[in-house]
Amino acid sequence: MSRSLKQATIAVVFVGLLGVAAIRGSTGRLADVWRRVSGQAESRAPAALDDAEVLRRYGFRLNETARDCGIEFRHEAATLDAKLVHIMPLVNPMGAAAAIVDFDGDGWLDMYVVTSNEGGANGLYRNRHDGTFEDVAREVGVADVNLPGTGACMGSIWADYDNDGDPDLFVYKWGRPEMFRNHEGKNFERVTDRAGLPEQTNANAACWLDYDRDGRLDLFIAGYWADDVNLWTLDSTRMMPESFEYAKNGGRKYLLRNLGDGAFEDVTEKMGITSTRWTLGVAAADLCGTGFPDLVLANDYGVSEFYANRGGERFEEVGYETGIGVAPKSGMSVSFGDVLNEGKLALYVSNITEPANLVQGNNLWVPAGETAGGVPRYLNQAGALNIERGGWSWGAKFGDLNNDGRLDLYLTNGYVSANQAKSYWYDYGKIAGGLKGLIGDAVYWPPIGDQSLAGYQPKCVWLNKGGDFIDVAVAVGAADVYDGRAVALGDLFNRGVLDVVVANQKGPLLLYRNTVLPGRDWVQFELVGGARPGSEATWSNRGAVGAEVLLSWRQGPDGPIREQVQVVSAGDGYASQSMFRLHFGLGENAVIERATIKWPSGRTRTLVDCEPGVVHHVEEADSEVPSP
Amino acid sequence: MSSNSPAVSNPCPRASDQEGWLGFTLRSAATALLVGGYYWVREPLGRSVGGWYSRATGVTLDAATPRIVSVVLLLAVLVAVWRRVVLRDPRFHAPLLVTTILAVGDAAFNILENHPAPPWLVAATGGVVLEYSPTFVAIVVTMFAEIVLGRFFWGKWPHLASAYVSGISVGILIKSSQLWPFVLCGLISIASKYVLRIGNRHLWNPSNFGVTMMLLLAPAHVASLSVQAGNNGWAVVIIWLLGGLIMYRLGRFHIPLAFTAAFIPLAFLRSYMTGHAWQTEIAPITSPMFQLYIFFMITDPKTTTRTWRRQVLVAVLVAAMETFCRLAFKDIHSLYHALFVIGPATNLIEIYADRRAARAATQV
Repeated sequence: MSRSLKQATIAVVFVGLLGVAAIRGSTGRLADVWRRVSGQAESRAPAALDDAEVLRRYGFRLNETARDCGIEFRHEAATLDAKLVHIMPLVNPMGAAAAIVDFDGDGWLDMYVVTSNEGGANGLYRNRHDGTFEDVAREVGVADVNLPGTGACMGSIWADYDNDGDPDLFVYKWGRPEMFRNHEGKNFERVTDRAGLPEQTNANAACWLDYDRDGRLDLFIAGYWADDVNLWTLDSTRMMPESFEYAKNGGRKYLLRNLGDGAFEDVTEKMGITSTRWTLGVAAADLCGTGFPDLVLANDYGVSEFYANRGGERFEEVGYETGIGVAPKSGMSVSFGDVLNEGKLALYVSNITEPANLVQGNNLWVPAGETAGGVPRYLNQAGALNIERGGWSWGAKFGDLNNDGRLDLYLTNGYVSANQAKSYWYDYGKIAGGLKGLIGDAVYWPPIGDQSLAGYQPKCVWLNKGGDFIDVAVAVGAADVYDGRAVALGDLFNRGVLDVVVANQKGPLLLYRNTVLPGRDWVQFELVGGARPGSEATWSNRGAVGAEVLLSWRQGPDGPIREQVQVVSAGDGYASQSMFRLHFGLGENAVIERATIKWPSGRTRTLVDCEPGVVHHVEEADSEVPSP
Repeated sequence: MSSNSPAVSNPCPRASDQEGWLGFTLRSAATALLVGGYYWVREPLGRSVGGWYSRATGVTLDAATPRIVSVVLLLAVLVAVWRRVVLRDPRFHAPLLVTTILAVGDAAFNILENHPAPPWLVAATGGVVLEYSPTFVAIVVTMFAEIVLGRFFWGKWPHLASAYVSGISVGILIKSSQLWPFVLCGLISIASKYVLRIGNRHLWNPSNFGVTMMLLLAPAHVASLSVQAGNNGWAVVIIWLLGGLIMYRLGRFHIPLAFTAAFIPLAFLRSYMTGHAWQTEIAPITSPMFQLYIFFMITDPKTTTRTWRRQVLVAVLVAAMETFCRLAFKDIHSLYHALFVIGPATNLIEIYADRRAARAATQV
């Protein structure tokens, strides 16, 4: 064979390779061709379906009803130091946050949402039991938390830290954090000074947890900007991250131990928490199986961190060992969910995916045994399960949206939506790779002007099909393209379904009312810990934060056993909190075998007579005391 | 990127015939043992060293430090094992350097970014293999493609240094959470050498062609390396020291130097035209990706022009085209596109000019 003929032969192969790359790489019709050829399942549902067909296919439908429900809340961003004016949308893109909580104990869920502009009022939307809400924030004293000179609200978390039976409010800020004590849902008392909180934080995440299992909830606050940075009066413009992927010059963390007298003690350093990464998401649960809650931090500009709780006496950062802290990305939120129905929690960390520019992909960290050091080992299965690409992802929450017995995933996204025809990506790329002295100084960041950066992004509502997920967002009605931040889930109308609240940056608060296909069963658990003021020892905190419910059920008397574990959390995802109640979808003809409750105190209780379609109110007092 | 061996008259890079099969086999076995042992002990050893250091000094040792020390030791031992082969053949010098950068970079910053193993692999290995390196896959793919295509095209076993560096380049420069872009990019890179050629010269730098094609054809799945190595100045200094030394020995240091000398005034030009600070326009060249590009991609002897003056001119033209792509299109991948255009164009001009000169000489 002549050399020319050989070259022609290789050329045929070469063209074939380019063709495969073009087909495989396409997102349009060619992608459909590839999917058919390779036998892959659809990753995105068709948009043009009528309501009945949507219900039949996917089992639920979402309708945005905020205005109909009497909610007209809009987030406004903080305006920071004029030295940052050229990149203001890049440095103030956070603050839209939402929490779902029954603050007045009437059995109906309410909502607390924050804004970030100076003088802007936060909203506390009380549920009127008729499908509408009314803003009572000012009336009960939790509206004015953005007072001039005190900083900007970034989020809130609720929990009954004083074990008196009603959830109290902590608001984290870029500025002075605030604590409000709830007086039976009638009014709130500002107790910030008595609580001994830090004078100044630049926090974007926080959660409640009882790290030492003393029956009192402790507080974890995660800083984003360095604490000594006053964003309204900058001493220096050298306050940006020192690296795009390895920055450690962010905010310090605070672990504040609840002393039981209304005050908190800073035990961060003593407990071994030394991170100064740029944290945007934090969540706590007993992931190591020790009975003590561990902490997971989703960090922007770097690796995620996993603080393993060593018996309530210290924390040890084992992110690298677990696998979640190896590849640096842009962590925006972290949520836990038993997505495979194995009785084990997987970790979902949202990151950034922008075709051709930054393809980090979101991470679903699925437990895969233990390391030699005795901590859980995780494997990222987001790609395999089709929940990897979510644009510039922010808040993500697991919940069974169609009550089929599997946890679905709602993810919101979008960074800066300005002029749709202009993109800042190129300018961003110029500075992102520069030396520390360049990327770390705001002066050198190119002005953004009216450009967008990952704006107008379609949201993702990933339906769990058992083996993988399919994005049904547009089909089921989640068609907004706001710059989403926080996602919170809760049964807002006491119908046995999860509704969705989305807080958007510089955008309206959205309430997606959920309609589920009739015939799908469900069950909910409202747990009450045994701790009471003055008698906390050996009991779980009254809000049962950290308690686990492992539910076993069948679909039909002869169906196979299905299992799912859920944990009561007080702050997770991005700047959000879902309802305390645990909601389990069960599918059709459900028969519950048992619900095993593991309380933070170590007590356990197994319920064998659970009826579906009921909110089960369970008190710790009736539980078994753990054997020594 | 490709191997920076001096230009050779033989168009087919041949495997070394001075290394006997027995010696090669023994060295390969020793290498496998050393690398396998390294991966086996590095985590427990790292924990032990870290714990010992903390107890002895009361200071927590950065987790990356034991990894960096151990990988440097491993590399030193491997060089000792292969010294007879590697040190006397300049074609191995650039691969050695880029391997060192890769290994140390991975130890310090995990730049290899392993992928999770598919469930079938986890099950098949009883849970021992939980992840894999797409860079290693890319290296295997490019070397395999080189063996197959080289043998088919030339009728001889090819020297694999060039394909090895191409594999590393693909592994580092392509960013994707999926495996297929690495495989396709490796195959396209190597195949391009055998297809897009005139006479005895291929026109495009293989990995530049492969990466550019992937960014063009599969942008939804692929990005290019933009930031790695922690925005640290020391990483840049180390690459310049090691890269400069090797390029100097290979007689090609003038190429990165010319590119840099052109890039800096062009950065000031861009600053003038965009109104952005000059430091902002200089910033890209301080990233490790730029260093890899100017030391290992634009210096590729197989796809650069032949004389010193022309090489300097081409480097300057690449920098100028890079600036044009930035200003005209706000092109995020301006580096790849600049070389993609200028490299083959100047090669074609040189080939044409050389042929004319040869014809003229014949007529005279």
